[in-house]
Amino acid sequence: MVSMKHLRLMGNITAAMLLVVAVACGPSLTLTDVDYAQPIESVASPDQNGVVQDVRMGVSFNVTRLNVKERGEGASLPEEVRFIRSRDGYYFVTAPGYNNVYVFETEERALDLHRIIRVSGAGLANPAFNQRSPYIQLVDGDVEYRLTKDGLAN
Amino acid sequence: MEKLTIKTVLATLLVLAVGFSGQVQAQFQSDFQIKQNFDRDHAEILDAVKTVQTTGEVDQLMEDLNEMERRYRDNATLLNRVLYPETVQSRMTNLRELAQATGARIARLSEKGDTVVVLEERIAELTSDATRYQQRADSLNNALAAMRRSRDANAAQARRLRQELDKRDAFIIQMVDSIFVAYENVDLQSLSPAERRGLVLEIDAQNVLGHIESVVDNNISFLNTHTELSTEDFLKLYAVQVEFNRMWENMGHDLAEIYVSETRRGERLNSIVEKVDEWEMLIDDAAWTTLADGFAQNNIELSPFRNSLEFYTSLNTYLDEAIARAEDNGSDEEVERYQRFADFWFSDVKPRWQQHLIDANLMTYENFNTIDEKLTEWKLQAQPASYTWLILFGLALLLAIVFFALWLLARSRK
Repeated sequence: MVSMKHLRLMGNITAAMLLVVAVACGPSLTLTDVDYAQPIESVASPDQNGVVQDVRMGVSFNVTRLNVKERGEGASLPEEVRFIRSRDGYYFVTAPGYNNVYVFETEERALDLHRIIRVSGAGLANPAFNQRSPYIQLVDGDVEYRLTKDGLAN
Repeated sequence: MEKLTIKTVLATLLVLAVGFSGQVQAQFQSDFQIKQNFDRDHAEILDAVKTVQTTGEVDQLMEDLNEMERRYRDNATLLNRVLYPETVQSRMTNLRELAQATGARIARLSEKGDTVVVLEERIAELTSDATRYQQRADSLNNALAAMRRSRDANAAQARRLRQELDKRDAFIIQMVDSIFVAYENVDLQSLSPAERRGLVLEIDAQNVLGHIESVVDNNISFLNTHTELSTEDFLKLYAVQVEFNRMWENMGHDLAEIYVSETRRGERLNSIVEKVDEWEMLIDDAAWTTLADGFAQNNIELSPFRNSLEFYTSLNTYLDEAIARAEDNGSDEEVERYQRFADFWFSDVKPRWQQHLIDANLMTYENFNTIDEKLTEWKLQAQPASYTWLILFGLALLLAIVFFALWLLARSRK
């Protein structure tokens, strides 16, 4: 038998939960047709801490852990790192001597690895990224790769 | 015929192969590298524009520019994005305009001679600034005139506006100085009549004499209408006049030489000379009068003076007499007289007037040091004779007598 007292209590609890949900959702607004494409790749030398930055694009990050993943612990940092941001906001990063292109998605003050794309067995000699939306073109000498965030395009 | 055909075919194939390989190369070119190449080519041409010396080199430069534009035409979209807010077109236009300006300058140089062109450029550059200053001076003069009509007019406002005018005067003096430093490098005798006429016309066209005359006119007008300013203000104006005179004396000879055959212009020069003399007389009168008033208001009676030598002599005489008087009879009254002079000297004259007096070549640092030394001497001599040593001597004598008496007493008891 549910008494009036219980009904009132349940009513209060329900109202409180609705209030919490409403507050947690907050205002919602999504802007569309965003194009993050960086028109030209960034070429930067890591500093002594492993940080590369492109002042013009206003971005910097530490490549030490990336280098460990590519070359193993204790390996020296590459002389230059090349990176570019694709139309949908992913960063493509590589360097001379690397076998892979690393695709990162952005997080709050972080880049999360999304995919590793293997492009070479002997290491890239002279890699360069070009923006060819919807692809990212990677050229190395006479060789060309078309990349997407999920790997090599057909 | 057959051979020729094979050769032609081979050559065609070779061209195609080279073209194809070139295309392949081009296809995989790095955008970053294209941008780097563009920046490098742009910098090279910019450097060339700076160093080019003949019209032939300028023509070559224009051809290089056309070739560069053709080379990057296919990459214009990419480059426009990375050069934003500039564009390839705007960069090329800038380079062309620079090259054309350089070409025009080289043409003028070969036509008129190096020094004259440099001089003309300097005059044009400086007089455009002078015109800006003149406009500002006109509005300030209007403000001064309005202020004089106002019942609220006061010295502080006049002083503030005067400071603005001073900036403009200083600029004009610097400008004319600069022009005539350039003149010094011109051997006027070596100029052809046409070149000399060109210079005269340039000076007239840029109204160099007009700017100079306006400085003199403004100062005469100011001195005739503002007698309420302080000694410091007048000394500052004196320094301006001295600086102007220095400049005017330097250039007067050259100007006379340039204008010698032009009667009307010669008259104009004479008119400016007369005005400069009037200005000097007015500021001389105002400065010495207020300076004398300053001493008189502090109850320091210097002998009359109307120029820097008389002023310095008057100061020295005053101090020498004071020292002699104090040597004869130091007294509290003398100390008070010294204090009055020293207060005025160290609180007003040195902090507020010294630099202007030196800037205007009215006194030197050595002059001030001499006065300072005499003041120290006066201070020492002015002290009244001290009785302290007499009291001490008396006490010592008294003690000696007491000890002597005690000694005698002790001796008599034995």
